[in-house]
Amino acid sequence: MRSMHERMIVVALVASLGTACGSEPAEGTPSAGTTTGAGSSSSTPDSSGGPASSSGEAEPTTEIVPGVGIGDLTIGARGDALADLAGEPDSSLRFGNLVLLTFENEGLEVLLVAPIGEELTATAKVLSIAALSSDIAFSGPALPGEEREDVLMRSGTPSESVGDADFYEAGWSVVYRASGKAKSVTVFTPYTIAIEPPPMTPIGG
Amino acid sequence: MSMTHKTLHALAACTLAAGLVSAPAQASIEVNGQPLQVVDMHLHSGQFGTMNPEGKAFILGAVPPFLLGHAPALLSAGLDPYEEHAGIQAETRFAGADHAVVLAVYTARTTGYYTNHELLEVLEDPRNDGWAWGLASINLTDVEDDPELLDSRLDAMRSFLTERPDLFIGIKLAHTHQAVTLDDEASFRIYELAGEVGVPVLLHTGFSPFPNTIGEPEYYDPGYLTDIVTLFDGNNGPRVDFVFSHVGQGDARAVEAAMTLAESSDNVWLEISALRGPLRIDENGEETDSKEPQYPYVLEQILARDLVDRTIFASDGAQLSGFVKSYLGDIVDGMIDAGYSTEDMARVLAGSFFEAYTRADPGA
Repeated sequence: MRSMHERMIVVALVASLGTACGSEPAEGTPSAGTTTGAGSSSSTPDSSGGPASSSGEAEPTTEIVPGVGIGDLTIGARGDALADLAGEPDSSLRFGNLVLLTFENEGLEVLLVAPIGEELTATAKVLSIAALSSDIAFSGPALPGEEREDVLMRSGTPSESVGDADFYEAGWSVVYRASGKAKSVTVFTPYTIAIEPPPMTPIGG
Repeated sequence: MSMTHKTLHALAACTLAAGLVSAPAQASIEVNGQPLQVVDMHLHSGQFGTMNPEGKAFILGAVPPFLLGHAPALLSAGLDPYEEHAGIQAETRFAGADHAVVLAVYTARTTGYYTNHELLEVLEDPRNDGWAWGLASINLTDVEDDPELLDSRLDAMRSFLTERPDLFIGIKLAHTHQAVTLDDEASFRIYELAGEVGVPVLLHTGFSPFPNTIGEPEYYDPGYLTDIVTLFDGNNGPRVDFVFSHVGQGDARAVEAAMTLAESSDNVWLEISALRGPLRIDENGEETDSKEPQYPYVLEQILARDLVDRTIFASDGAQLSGFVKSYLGDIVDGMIDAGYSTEDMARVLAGSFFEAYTRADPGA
């Protein structure tokens, strides 16, 4: 369960960004054969070249697919589909139109957008999904509890890093604990890093 | 009966509940029993991948650790104009704002960029049912010693302003982000273009919290525009309206310069976004450890100096979900506390904008 302290941090976050001056997530659908539902079997390596499972080839796994989803839950899925898949969340944290839900049995955390007054409804939409628990048999480019050096070795250098987090343009991130072990593996819509603006051209150019 | 921040929130929530969120432009805030139109004229779009790495790190440094892994999705939602429920359009309507102005920016050295072409695509989108207009901008990197490059970029920006005057209603500059002084030759060429085309120039004034912005007054203090404001007052050639975004926030000397210029020149406007932070420099140029937000003082001074007719609301959002609504609520509460009449508030929230930005159709 999220603590009151964390809830207060969210309020502080919203306030702290208030002085800063400063793509829609794909309706992702998993490719055939690349995703298995929670509890279903997968004995093949994942599409990112990661191990089939954290606990052995024959064991059922929930696949973490960058840019797409985790298990049967996909980015862009609606709240009612989430409810069908995962049931009631164990905790819910709301800030504005954003909702963060935790499903402890599935070891998942889901960020959604939903109008005020609505949570797991047909209008809510999943923005990103995180695998949190090393007790769940996930497969993918990184796994909760995995050492950072192991992740880097098999999944490559991250596109960018900020603090304890590594971000990959393919649509996934890993946040590490101070120990160097992965705390969470999150999937979201892929993005492309392009630091320099393109040449300015006229409106028809 | 005055409408407080909390009441505004409740009203906007009721509006959403009534299913009005997807309706075209709507006036959904009510103050003193009167519905008031709201235009938020300072909103940023963009992409997670085109943010400056240091600027991105600055923003992610403020994200709570438990949300850090979700940051690309979290920030992308707030930057996407049409993201369901949490994009700029959803957030402005959630706040009760009828119209929005989205800004192109070429600030790759500080925050990132959002091109005129990207903005055009958003403004031409069928979902823009009269909701938004845009401000064009220009990349000033490397133009200092390359006049041909400056010319070509000016021509490129001009094309957006001349070929789609229904969508592009002004120019946006951010000198402290773009590393060009307010009175630089390149800046002057842009003011000339604004006069030629007949659009206002929105200028970032005051500090910015982002890395690599320039903290020298020549880059943020509107006092450095005094001669230029006079030159473009319409008495000696083309008129240009200068809109001082953030009213010189952060430096009391810059705030005073903005107010003074607005008092003396009718081609100066004050845009009141991003005023929840404290002053960093006092009127003597000394650092101050003030913790007080600046908007109560600024709003009080605007009323005292009879500058309500020259003041334009904006939020500098949409940032995170709820930010526009929260900022609008603070400003309305601040105006009530300062003694603004309902007519004064109507002027600040929309009236001044439509007078300054004559291309924007209030009936859109």
